[in-house]
Amino acid sequence: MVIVSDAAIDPYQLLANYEAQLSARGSVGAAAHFIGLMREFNEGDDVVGMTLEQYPEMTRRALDKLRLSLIDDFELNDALIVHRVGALQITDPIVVVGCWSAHRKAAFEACRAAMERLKSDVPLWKKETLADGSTRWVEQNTPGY
Amino acid sequence: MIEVKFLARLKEEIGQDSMEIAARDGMTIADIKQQFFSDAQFQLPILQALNHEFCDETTAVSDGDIVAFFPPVTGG
Repeated sequence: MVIVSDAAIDPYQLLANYEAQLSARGSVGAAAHFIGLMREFNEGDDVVGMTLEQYPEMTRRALDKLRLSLIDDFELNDALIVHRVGALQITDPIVVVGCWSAHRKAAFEACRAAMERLKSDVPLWKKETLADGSTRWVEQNTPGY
Repeated sequence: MIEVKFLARLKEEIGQDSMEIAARDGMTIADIKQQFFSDAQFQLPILQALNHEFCDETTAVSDGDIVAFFPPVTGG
């Protein structure tokens, strides 16, 4: 499942609910989860808020495509991707990825791949508000790998 | 007509989020890009999509298409 939400999300509730309804749960031996959170600094500056812009007609489609590529490439039982858009505050969850597979290697690697692919293949853009009230578009993702 | 959309920073720099242009025979994404982004102020790489799928500049466009231009993505 893919969810694009303009409201605050509870990653743990989303993951628990999704896992509870997985089909053939007995064949799932591994679950890997990633949660991206909004931090209070970027590129040496204090950040107090952020807006995530999407291209609505394309973002959802790109996330669906990404999810299916993960399931195919890593032979996952299932995958969940949730991404926030709109206004976010410090500590808010930005993105949630859940990958379920028979064995841990696939779940771990798919979770990692989800984030790397998301950062290049999905039309989303961050605009930060700094402590002095100014705003700026984030021009590139931090390496962070 | 071709609908041209501008996202994120480009929407602010162009001053509107979309406009329509007339389609021409043999038109490509690069032709449209040149029309809007030849100014030196557009220094960042500009990506593009045709009908909601990423594409490259050599992609042909035709009447009824939706073309979008945007900066490198920064989600996640």
